Amino acid sequence: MIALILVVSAAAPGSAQTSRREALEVQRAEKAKALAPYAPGKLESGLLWMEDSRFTTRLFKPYEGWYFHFGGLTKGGGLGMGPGYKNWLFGEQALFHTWFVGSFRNYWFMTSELTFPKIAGGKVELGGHGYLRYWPRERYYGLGPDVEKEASSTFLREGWEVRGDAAYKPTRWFRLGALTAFRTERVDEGKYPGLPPIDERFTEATAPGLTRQPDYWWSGAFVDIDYRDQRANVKSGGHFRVSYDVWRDRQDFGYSFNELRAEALHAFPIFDKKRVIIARAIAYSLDSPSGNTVPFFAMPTLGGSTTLRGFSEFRYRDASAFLLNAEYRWEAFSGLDMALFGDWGNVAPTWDEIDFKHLKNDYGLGFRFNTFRSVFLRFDIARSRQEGVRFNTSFSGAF
Amino acid sequence: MTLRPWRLGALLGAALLTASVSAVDGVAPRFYDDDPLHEDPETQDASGVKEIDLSDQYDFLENSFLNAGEQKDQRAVNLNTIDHVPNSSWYTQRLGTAEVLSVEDVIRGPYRGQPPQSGIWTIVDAKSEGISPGMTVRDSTGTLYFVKFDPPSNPEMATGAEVISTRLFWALGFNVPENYLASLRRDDLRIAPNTMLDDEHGRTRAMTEADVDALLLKAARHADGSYRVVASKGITGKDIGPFRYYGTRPDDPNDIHPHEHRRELRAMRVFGAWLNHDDSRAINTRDFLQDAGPRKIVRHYLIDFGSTLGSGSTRAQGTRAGNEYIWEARPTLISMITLGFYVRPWLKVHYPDLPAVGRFEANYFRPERWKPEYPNPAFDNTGPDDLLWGARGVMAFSDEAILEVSRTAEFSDPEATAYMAQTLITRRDKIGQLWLNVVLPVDDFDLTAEGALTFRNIAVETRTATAGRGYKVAWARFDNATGTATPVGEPQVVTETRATAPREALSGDFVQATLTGDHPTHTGWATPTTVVFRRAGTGWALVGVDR
Repeated sequence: MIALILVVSAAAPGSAQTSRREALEVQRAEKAKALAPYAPGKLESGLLWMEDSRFTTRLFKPYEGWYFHFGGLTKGGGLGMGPGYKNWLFGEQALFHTWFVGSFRNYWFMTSELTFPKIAGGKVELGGHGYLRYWPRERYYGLGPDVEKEASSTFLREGWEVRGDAAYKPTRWFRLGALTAFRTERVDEGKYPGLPPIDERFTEATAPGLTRQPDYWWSGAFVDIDYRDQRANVKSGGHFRVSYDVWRDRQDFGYSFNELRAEALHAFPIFDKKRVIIARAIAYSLDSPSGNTVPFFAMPTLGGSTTLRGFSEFRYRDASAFLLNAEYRWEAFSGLDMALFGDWGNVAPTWDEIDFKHLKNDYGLGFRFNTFRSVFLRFDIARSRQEGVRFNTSFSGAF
Repeated sequence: MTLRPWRLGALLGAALLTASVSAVDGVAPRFYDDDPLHEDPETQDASGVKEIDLSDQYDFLENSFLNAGEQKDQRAVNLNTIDHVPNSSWYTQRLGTAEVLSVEDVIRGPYRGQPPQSGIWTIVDAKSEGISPGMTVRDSTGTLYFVKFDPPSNPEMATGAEVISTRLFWALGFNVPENYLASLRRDDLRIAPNTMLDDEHGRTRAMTEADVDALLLKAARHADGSYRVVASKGITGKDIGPFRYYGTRPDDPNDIHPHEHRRELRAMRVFGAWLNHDDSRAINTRDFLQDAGPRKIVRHYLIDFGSTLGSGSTRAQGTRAGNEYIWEARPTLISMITLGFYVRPWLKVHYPDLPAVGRFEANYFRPERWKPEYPNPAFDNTGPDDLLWGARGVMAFSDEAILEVSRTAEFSDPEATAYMAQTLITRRDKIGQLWLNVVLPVDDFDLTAEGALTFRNIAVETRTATAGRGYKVAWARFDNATGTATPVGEPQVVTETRATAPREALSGDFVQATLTGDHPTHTGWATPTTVVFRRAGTGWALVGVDR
């Protein structure tokens, strides 16, 4: 055994050196014989390529050219995906932007727009927009606050719109704007699996606009004050918006109406924005001129992942609606915020008839995976007395 | 005492092991004639190194989840035999040498050239993507600088942090760029022909005047229309990418010591804690291939101190910085389970309203709790001796030096300067009180020809510890060929920092003394420190220190 140890020791590297310097030089000379450039592994190479090529920016948010568009469908329509294209025109004064998205729920949406965002140093913005939409699995439970979940039915909503708008932005946080548009609407038999078509359960009397849908000229104005720190992941600041739109039935079917919408949101941060209390209120009031009725498809709805989260999408619908959301959000770690939330809301034919004493309500717990600027994945678990526990998944924030 | 058979076997085994170790050391002596080395002989030509790039995301993933580097309870490997770090392409001992003997030397820092000269600055490269924009310019003399700004919310903060940390890291021995404070006006800037810009849309395109305006919108503008900047002078040599805090660079023949086991990188945990350098990760390092006589060597730099002290580069430092990794399972789970009602204690820390300082404080600060953005393999391998070495460096800065360095930030608000200095002083003292005492804090050993041993207790001298009850000194003759020590006499107990070697201990060519301390509160003082002296002429020269 001793002999063996001595053999090993005699062969030990460095044993022949007579100085520390020489011992270190020998180690370096040995390494010099086998130099190799650094070779990153597959994961590192992939991430490096993505960073160097700015792959995600080029794929999802390029300055111009083709890209991959995520989102953009209506609530309940599923995750929209499809191609987009941007092209700056007129010396980069105008942006042509078009995109098409579809979802596995067979919803699709296509839009094109030409905007002039740099007028007067960016203080004035003009735009022309057009879209086609196909929403085949919309749900309808009837009007008012007392509808039953079992009354659910499905309808298809499709149509197109062209719109011109203008906005004045004297500051970063203030916008004043106006628009005018032409829109077509068509309602048909829906394709939600397991649900009966709308006309099997409802009639023109219980679903105004069911039998025929007009084309609309509509125009409106808005004022918008927005001083949120991050619009897609708000931690502080507020957003206030009031809009008034006038919808005119081009065929005189009796479906003209006016829409007043007011929204207020404020975030109150504590502990360096690691805790945030957010409240949001939205009020809708749609009224119709004498001899007209607000069509059911234009009415505000409550229920779903951005309104009453403990209720199904489109659960409550009527000409007037009120919604209040309150969230207490806290940072579990920098990539995940959680939230305790409560939602309250109600609908009624008129604003005066909304029963504020018996608001529909739910509460729940949310998980929001985020970057500093935006939420990219959200799970909300909500419970309401009427529907029990519901799970909401979304690729954006609740509000 | 009678020996039982198994005990006899164990002794035989131990004897064999001792013999084997002795045999190894018999061929390679414990101390060579040239020990201790003060210069690491980086004698290989490294001109064949290739530029490497680093994925910021991969660096985070690797260090947070993939156990980057080697985790091993071992001494740093780039030490000389007296527990010092030899000068190298990584580190240059400056404190206490002719290079840094005075406060003025610290203030002079790495600055050997001149600040950017006023006049027209020509932009030759720019970066508008990300949250920390900057530009590369040539000043009116044609010298290249990388220019960074203060955020509008915190004028003077990021630039102030840069120049303070630059001087301190330089004095601590690291290679750093010459980061100058300067001032520019919009009219001073011109765009060189064909200057390209990486914009936020993923494009590389020609830079325009509008891009300059947009970039300056993200910068703090003074009332007179000027912008305060930090201008980082271009480092000579070829930029070949960052270094990691683990492993070695496979194409650099001189890079033989795993980075996680380099003393100066391990001790950066101490320096990082002092200066709140939470961004101490690979992305803020840079290797340059430089001339070294007839050869080229790779020299390793720390760059970008914009996220140090109270600065988070583009805003005040976040409250998490220095207190928790980006990802930590335990506090995350606690926060989730308690529905956020568990409030991390660092969220309750109060910071003064000093925009030029940002978020930097010393009351809540505990050196042992300090953390960078994500795990750093070198920091995770830090041992008590590394902590002592780092703390000794930090404690070398006097109050006066710290105040004068703070003044180099040229804060408009005198309160900011005073607060910065006092915070650094308090954090320094906390580091000294903790990490100077994790082992016996003795150094600067001397043995006279007559056998009078003297040493210094750094903790006592810096008033980070009381004198303690005394020291025990055990003497031995040391056989350099076999590496064995033969005790001589009974251990001595002394109350002063001196002892006398027994005559018999001085009879050979090497003499060894093993010191332990006795302190009522600092149990680390009981950790033995062994020193070895070699006969040198008529006296003795220190050749070994092992803590």
